[in-house]
Amino acid sequence: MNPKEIHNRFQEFKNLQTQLSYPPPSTIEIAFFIEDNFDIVLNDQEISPDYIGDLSLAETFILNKLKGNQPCAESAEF
Amino acid sequence: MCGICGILKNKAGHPPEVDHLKRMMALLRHRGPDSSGYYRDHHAALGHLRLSIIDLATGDQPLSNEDSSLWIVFNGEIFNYLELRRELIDHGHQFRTQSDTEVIVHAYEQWGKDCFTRFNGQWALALWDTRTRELMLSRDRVGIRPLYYTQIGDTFLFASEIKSLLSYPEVPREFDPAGLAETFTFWSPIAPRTVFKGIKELQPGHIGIYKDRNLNIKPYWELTFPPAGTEKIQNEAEAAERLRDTLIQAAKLRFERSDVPVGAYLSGGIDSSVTAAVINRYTDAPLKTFSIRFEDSEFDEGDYQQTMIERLGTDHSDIVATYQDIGNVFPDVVWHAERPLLRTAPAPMFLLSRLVRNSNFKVVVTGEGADEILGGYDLFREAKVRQFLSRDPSSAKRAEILSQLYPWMERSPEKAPAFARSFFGKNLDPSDPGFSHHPRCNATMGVQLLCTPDMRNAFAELDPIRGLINRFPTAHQSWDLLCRSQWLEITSLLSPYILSAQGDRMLMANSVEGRFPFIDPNVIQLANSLPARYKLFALNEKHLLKNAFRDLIPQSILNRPKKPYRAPDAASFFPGTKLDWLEFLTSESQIKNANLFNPKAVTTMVNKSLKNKGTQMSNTDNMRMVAIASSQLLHDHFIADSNGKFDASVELEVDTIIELLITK
Repeated sequence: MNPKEIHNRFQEFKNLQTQLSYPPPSTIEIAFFIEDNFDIVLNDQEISPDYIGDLSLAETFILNKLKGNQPCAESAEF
Repeated sequence: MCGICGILKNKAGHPPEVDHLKRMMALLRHRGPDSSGYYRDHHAALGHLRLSIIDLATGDQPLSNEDSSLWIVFNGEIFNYLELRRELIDHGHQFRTQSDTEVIVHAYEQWGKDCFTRFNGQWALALWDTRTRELMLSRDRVGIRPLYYTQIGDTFLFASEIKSLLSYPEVPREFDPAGLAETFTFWSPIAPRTVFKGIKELQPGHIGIYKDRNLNIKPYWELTFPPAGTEKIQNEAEAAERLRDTLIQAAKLRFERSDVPVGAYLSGGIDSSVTAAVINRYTDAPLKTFSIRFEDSEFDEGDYQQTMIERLGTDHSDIVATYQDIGNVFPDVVWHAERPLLRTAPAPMFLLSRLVRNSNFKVVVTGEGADEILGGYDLFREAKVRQFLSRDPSSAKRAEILSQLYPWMERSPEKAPAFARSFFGKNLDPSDPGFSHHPRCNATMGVQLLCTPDMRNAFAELDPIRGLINRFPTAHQSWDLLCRSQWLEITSLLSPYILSAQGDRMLMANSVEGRFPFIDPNVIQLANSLPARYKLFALNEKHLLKNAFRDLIPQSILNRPKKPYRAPDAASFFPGTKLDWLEFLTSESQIKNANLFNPKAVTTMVNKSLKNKGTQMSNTDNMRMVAIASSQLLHDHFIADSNGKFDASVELEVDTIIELLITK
């Protein structure tokens, strides 16, 4: 999945909040969303408001995590 | 909607007996009170009880093709019959009526057994070809309409309901432990199994061709999903727009294709709110809507119903069900359901359809199927939560997600976290094909512990869950977890229970036809083709449906916590005054007579229920109490026949008789 696709998935979640007026997701719900969408497993340290406390923070975290795990050219898919 | 039945005789000189046919028809009278008819020749007899909805003037059955070589009895509706009719006229077919029934006959002539893939509808039917002496049975894709059969020696019988078959003199009236084992695992036997020995149900999406003493059964449709990640539509807005268009078309078709007024159920949930809101756009007069309410506020949805009624401006009627109402009507409910029940939820549906009928309506559009097709059930969320737990079972944080499950339950995981961790933390292997359904099946199987040693020994030799998993299409391993869960739910609950025990049977008990836009074949095809996340986005159920119709549904309903339709269970049997039938059927002598349950276990269960008048019971104990009551009633109705319904002489005036039997 490339950064644009990752962004789109986060955008889908954000749309859910705005279109249907849902309350902001909790950290555990964001962790659930991340694993559900990006085929990665978070450890307990990562399931923390410091890393994934809101959707914007979580998007940055995922981009960094996936880049860190698998260094590659910018255009390549993760 | 109608009732159908028939007798085929394979022995020359032994034509179908008209008295037996009339007895079979009489037991289906509730399905078709408007008119009746039968056809008989030397080999076959077809009976029909009509609930007239389309072509009131000339739609009576049995009905034939132009040269009377092909005869049909049909229960259901083919909603795209006008389009098919035009196509068949172009092919040179001539029509005598305006009915959808005649369209089936000509479609079968034109396209043979492939015709069923062209039908958008809900049906169970039999076509008798006098030339080839073939009987064709067919049932709609998801099993909205029922069709049962049995063979006794040289006689083949079919009918809309089991009671009709059991009225035939030589058909044994015995329980089948395999059918009971499935019921005490999934809440219902799954076709072709029933709870009666020798009686089978034609599977949804199948045809059966009976000829020369052999019944050859084949599927014409299969419930399937694409491999995860290969779904063609990957744009949420496009998916929402297509779902909206397809569902509007499905609802419109079900509302407009009728020659009698059509009403709608309003439960207070999203599904029926969507269907009612859509069809409300296609009527000038106020839409007639119906709701069930409960005296017990734990189950009542009246506030949400009122919100939707005001939004749509409907002409509304409702009925408030008390514990006593449910307890009083339960014997009739079991008579119509024809299987043990694990929940009382069908009983209020029976009361609701009675309200519809008493309001002079006989067709309603309802929201059934949305949860299964569009990912609405808590069970789907539960499977994903358990998958999340399975990724790191030692995690201290992951169990927090359990608080998202079953918030409406009195003993919700949020209120009992230790129990929840233990209950949902078992068997955490998402690659297990039955992964999603093990917790519910295991809880239901708690009923089996109350059975007699003989019955439990019989159950021990059976493995209903393995039997169900073996039916999975081979491609299922490539499906998303949600899709595998959906397949199991549609196969094991939607078809045999929601649409049958709680659906068709409770509607037809009061001669009311249900129509279900969410299980329109085009809606199913579209929904199944979509990425799983559009249906269940993280833990947000029916996400796409909410998104697609958010302009039509009030925010308070869109955002309400998911709460499944439920009714008071054990509490309905202990309403303060004694229920005579319950006291009689749970007596030691009657328990021994039925030989299903251990008398001591039943006494313990009844005493436990009496303590708090059936309230404050665990989920499994509620199921146990309902299972005991319903199984005892089933035995009393169908095996002991204490009301003499199977031996009574038949008083049925038949309106149309087509007698081709030449007697010397």
